[in-house]
Amino acid sequence: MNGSPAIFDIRDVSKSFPVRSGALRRVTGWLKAVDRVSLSIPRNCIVGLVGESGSGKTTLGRLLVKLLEPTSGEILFEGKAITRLDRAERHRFRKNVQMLFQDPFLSLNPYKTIFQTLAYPLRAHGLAQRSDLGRKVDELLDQVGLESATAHAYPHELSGGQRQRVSLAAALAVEPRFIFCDEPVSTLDMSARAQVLNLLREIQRKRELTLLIVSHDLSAIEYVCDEASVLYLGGIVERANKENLFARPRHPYTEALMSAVPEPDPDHQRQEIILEGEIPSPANPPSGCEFHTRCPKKIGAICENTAPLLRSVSAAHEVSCHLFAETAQQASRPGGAEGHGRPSSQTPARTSFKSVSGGRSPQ
Amino acid sequence: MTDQQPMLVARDLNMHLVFDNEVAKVVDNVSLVVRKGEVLGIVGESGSGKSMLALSLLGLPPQPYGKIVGGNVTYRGIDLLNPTSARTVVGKRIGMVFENPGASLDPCYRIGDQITETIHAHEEIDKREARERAIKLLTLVGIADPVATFSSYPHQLSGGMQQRTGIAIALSGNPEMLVADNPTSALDVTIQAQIMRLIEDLRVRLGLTVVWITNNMGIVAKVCDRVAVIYAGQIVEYGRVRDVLKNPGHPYTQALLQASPRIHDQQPLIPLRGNPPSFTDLGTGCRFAARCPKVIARCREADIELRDLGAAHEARCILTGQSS
Repeated sequence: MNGSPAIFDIRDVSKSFPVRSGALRRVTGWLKAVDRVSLSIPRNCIVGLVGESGSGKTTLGRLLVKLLEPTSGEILFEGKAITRLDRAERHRFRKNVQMLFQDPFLSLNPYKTIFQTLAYPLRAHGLAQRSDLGRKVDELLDQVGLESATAHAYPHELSGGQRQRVSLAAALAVEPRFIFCDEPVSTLDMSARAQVLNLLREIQRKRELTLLIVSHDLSAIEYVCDEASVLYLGGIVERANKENLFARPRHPYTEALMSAVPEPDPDHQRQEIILEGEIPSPANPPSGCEFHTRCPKKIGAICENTAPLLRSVSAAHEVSCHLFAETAQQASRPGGAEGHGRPSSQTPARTSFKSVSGGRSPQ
Repeated sequence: MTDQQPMLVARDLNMHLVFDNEVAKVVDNVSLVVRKGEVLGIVGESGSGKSMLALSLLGLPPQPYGKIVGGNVTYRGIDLLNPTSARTVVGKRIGMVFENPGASLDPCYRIGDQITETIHAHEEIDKREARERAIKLLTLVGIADPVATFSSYPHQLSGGMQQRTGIAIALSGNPEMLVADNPTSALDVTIQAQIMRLIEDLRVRLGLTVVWITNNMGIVAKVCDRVAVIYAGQIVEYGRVRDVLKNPGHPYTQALLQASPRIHDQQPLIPLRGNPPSFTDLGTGCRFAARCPKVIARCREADIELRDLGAAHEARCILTGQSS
């Protein structure tokens, strides 16, 4: 298993949250935030995760950084299951896997100077002597394009873009191999957004990091990512490298997300697809294809009754939609998966695209 | 669309925030005209003063610091800077949609009560009639189950539904004009597309005029007829959307466009350097000079007027156009 090209292997992972109600707060149902997702994240690249609020993209990211534990399934980091780490391994894992939060106005401690914020992880992981801290912090600030004087500032003295750089510096402080970036630019202005997106690209290249970037903005994803997965109600509906996904989006949901991004060009002509309604509640997902309630290309009863499988439509391009059942290579429905069963590593077609090796065998 | 009758007219409007020991000139000599039936965009970064401009246009400078110190604003001849006459217009003939519906709706009152409150504020009608009107408004803004929504609390609604409710409240006085302050910034792209279509739809059906404040050039391209680009409290470029976006005359507009990501376009994004200047220390000369890639010595010598680029297109840059 070692030496696999993937930094993360996500195998058939689900995460459910209990729904409690009544005076006794009894568990009355389960909300499936992530539903049988299999995904492998190759090393040294930027992977995007796209979807609306409520699609489960943040939950999936949080599972990877061990802020949440999966309900079922397995997550392997560099070939090792992260659910079974001992104390020392967990400490190392925390150093290797970092997170960049959405809102830099909430993620930095307002009572600490930038120096304190950046020095803490260095000391916690024994990466710098006390006498060395000043130089290390300066280096970090320099890497994210901030002046060393910033070290003495408090977060309220900085703009949104500067704060997001500080958050990134804090994540980089411990020399991680992987950073989960949760909507890193959604709260930022255009110009700060461009700065942070450029910085993420640059840092990834310079440090040979792997980044997972969650966003609902496809233009940002296209700008920074090498490949991306589109999530809807906790399941992957399309996955492809950047070229395929943006030149030939297959899933109607991906097409709709793409057409929803307003382009700063008055001559821009694009077929406008506006989805009706909103993403259904994951506590009570629709039958069959979960997107059928909003799908502009619904073909009939099959969409309402049968959950489509994630299938290869070309090299490095998978889609879960009945429209492409014929073009896809033969694939059988996994046995025992009821209702909205998600494809996992069983489908033979998956091997053509960064597939997880040694997954569960069919039936 | 542009030769239509002017609705909202601002002339040399100045609004300052007056603090104990300093003055922030957040709206500086703004003149603009909103014509019947059009969508005028006001675009700029955060901190450029665009929301302050919107509030000043309605005669509502933020209290207690905001003071209108010069100029005038009229709505079809009615003075909006006079509180008594403004009261017959603002909230009734001009409705306002706010940025974050989660914050602008009161969490303690049901949606229905918040809509009928506005209806009662402007009209003497009985409770039952107000309720019927509110339910009609909720239907109009595309809420699937208006009766249930009428008796819901804001937290029970999604962000998109909350913004639809916000629009229903803005429409409750049967306005002729909507002022929408970044109405989609808190929403997902799919819901943003729905809200953009809803406002466009309402504009056509109800014959509304719209002022749309945003920081997104994509939204300007998609929904606006004309646009005013705001920087440090001034209009730096003003004209038809096509002219401004295709032939930006001001380096700030050019910079905003270069910083906006586009699908199917892998041009590197060029972020703006630095931050907008402080409103309390604006100095002389072009306010964008410190961040401008094309700056020359003459830029800092004297304040710069809007210059004519032809076809009702103006920019505040000495490198383009002729002084008008």
